[in-house]
Amino acid sequence: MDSMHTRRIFLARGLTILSAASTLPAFIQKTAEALNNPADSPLTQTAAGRGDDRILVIVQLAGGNDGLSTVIPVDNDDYRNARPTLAVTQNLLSLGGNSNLALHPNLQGFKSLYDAGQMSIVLGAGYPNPNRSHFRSTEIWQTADPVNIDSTGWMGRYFDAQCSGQDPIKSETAISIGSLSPMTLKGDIFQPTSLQNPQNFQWLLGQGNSRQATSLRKAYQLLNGINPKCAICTNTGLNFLQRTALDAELSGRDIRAATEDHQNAVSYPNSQFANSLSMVARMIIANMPTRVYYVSISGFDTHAAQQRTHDNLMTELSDGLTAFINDLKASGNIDRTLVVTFSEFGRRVAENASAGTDHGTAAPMFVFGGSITPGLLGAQPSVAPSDLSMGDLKFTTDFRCVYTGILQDWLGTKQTTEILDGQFKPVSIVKA
Amino acid sequence: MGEDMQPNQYLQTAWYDPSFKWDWRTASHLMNRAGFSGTAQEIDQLVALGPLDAIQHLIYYQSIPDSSPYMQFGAISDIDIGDFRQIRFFRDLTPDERREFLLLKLAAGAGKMDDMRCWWLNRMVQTKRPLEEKMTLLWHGLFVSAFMDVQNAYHMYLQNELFRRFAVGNVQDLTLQVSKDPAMLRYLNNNQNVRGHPNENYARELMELFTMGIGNYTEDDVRESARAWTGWTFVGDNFVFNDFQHDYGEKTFLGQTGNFNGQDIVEIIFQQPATPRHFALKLLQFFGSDEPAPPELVLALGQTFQDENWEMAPVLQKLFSSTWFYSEPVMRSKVKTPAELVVGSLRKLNGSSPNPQALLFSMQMMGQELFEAPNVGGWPVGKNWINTSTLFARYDMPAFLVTGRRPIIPGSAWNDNSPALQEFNTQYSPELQLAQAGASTTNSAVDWYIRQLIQDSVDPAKRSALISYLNNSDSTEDMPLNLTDQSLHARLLGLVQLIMAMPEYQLC
Repeated sequence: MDSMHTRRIFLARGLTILSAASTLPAFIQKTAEALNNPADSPLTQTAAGRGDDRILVIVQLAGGNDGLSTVIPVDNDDYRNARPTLAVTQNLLSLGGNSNLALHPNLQGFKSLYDAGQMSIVLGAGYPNPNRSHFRSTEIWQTADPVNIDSTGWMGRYFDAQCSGQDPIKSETAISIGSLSPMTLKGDIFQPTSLQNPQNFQWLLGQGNSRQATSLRKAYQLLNGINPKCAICTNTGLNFLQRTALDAELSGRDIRAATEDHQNAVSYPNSQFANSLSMVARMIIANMPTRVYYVSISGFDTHAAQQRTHDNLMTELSDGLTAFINDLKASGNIDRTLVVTFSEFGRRVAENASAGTDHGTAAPMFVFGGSITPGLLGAQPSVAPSDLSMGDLKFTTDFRCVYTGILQDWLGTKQTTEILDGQFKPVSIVKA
Repeated sequence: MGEDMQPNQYLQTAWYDPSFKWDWRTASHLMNRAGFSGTAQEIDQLVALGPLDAIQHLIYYQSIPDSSPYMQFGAISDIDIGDFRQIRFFRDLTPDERREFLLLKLAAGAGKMDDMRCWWLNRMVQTKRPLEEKMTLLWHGLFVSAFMDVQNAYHMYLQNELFRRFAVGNVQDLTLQVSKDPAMLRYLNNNQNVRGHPNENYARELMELFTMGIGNYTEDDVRESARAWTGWTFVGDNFVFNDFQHDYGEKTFLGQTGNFNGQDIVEIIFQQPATPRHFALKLLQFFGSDEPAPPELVLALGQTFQDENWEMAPVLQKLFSSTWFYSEPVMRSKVKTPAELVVGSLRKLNGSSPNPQALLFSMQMMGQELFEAPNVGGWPVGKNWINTSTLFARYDMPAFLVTGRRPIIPGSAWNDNSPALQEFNTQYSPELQLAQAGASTTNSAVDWYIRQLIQDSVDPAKRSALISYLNNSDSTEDMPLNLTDQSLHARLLGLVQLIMAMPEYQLC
């Protein structure tokens, strides 16, 4: 790619905010090339040599989803005894086979995706010496490190590993929806893009073509401009703020264009979660260079009067994700997208006196997409009292085995051991 | 004092060192941290008092009349959506009617919460006792309860007043009062913690997040102390000990065995070595540095807590007087929380308090909706406030302050004309401020605003960019400013918003 071409693409992509192209740090130049010529990009080079546009969508169920009210043991006395008021026994959606498992009645959308071979369930996902603190356990899932306090996420380290030298990868390679950015996506070098809604994703005062707006914009760019000496990778104080301002400016136009100029192919239910997913779908349909999206749904910390809250959450989760998958199907993006859910823990097997459940351990993960191994993966932990550990399920699949499957078989990296700080047997979530 | 400070110097009184300077910079630092940033007059006043008197003026504020607004609650029964499920009227409704009724009640409560957010922001702006509101904010982010789960605006208000009452009071007493607080009892489900089937939520978070920190207790300690908290509940707006639901059996907690109740649990927790460290860490982070404080300092300040019998005032005096507090790695290093950013900006611009309703939207975009912490762990810290989303929210906020409106985007369908935003119209006059400051040229106006807003020198290239903007040319020449020229107004408002949209302005 010649430099004239690069420059033209810059202008076309709206990077004209950079008042003097000659002061561009190398990484921005490289990023622009990478965005427009994926096969050359270290970001998208894969072990198998695929020029790849695969997408991973991570869905966090914040608060600790009650796995036993989600994927339900059928006709199980131990389960009913432990859950005298909360056991879900009516209108179950059987998963068939010999599993003796069924889905919560409100997961009808999930059931149809399961039947269509576009959903799988990793049973009993957890980790050794489970921690029952929301924060620590969320951190463990996000950093993939159950032992040490780590300040980088497993996907953040994946992006860092793709980074050549000190040149960071463009921030919009990973996008989270919400006002806070999740640890999962943060690397030592890589910092993700976060946004709540595309309209607010800009410095509003400097927009427009008036003389005043133009002079404001010019000053703004100098005040938030790129200082080649400090734009690189340092993550403290002013430099961090400066770099975030740059990332925001670079991502902003792409994201607004993507979400404003593209339509969803299906209608979504009315919930914040579904709104986030519809925004993500538009970005996927617009062919954004983003590899990883992160969306969360919260409210799962059901210590008291669980049933109604959890029933509603199941509806919100299933209806939102089902619309999303159908949208990707209709727009021809389903085969290049893999969706995976996680929650920091499941809940205690026995219900408490408040018709709720306390913090527990292992829980199912859902996987969706057009290229996945359908069905049930791994084994459902036993709810028999003698099989429990301090009243909690024993995990059957280490979640890092799922991450290994994603990193190795979906994202195609050879650096899984380095990223996860250890070797884990991959769960075959991607169709061979 | 530079980075070569020795651990034994951290808590030494700063002004015993002859190289220490008590001036505009150090006084505004104290005001930023112990309060919500100061106007020029307030900072001048602190400089004149000298460091010790300035610190004591901030901490021992009881003699200063509380002139800031009180919350007007109106008919409390209108907003409680917790207890009326019992009443006959409700039982007679159809499921659909019940649903609608609940939603109405919830909306009324949510509206009341917006009133409370405005009220609290106004207090922070107007108070003559800034540390009282700052400590209330600290306790609010440490002993977390969120309206989303409490669903009772009045209880949220009572909790807020509890924090204010104990702002610089005794930490152990506050912890016990928090354990009896209706909002907290509901938020962490202790009102449903009963003999035979303990609900562990409060027992766990009390140790993990409020007082000791993770790793200093076992799962057994959680289970045993949950038993001690059984029967601690509330009726109406008051704490009630429900004798019948209390587990009177023997419990073993943190190595001690006895027939413990909640008060015993608090006493035992405050005997643990982890507890002073935990509070010291929280205090150093809140007032000092986003980066973890050196362990020697945590230990030393923890010892101060113990020496002072858990009284907050003398501990704060020690901290605000310390060499560490005024050291270079601490000064201007903290990312402002959204509350600090908004309240500080309001105070710096004119000290008046327009209806801050419009600012609530802006704060929500920055990730801080007061009374609605994202989870029981409280608010983010430091860099975690900053990402591509919240940074634009921060940069767009000043428009609300100086124009009362979101900026209009030409050609966008998104321009907001909602009455709530239109009503908010400040009378901010940069001309007046500059005239009072005697800044009559473009360079002196830029320098005055940098000193006022950033409180430190900035990169000369950035100063030049601001001057060029104000000159409306590429020149940085020092041009005379005609402050009576109407056409200058928009440009001056732009200058204020530009400085507030600098990375430097996000730090204090």
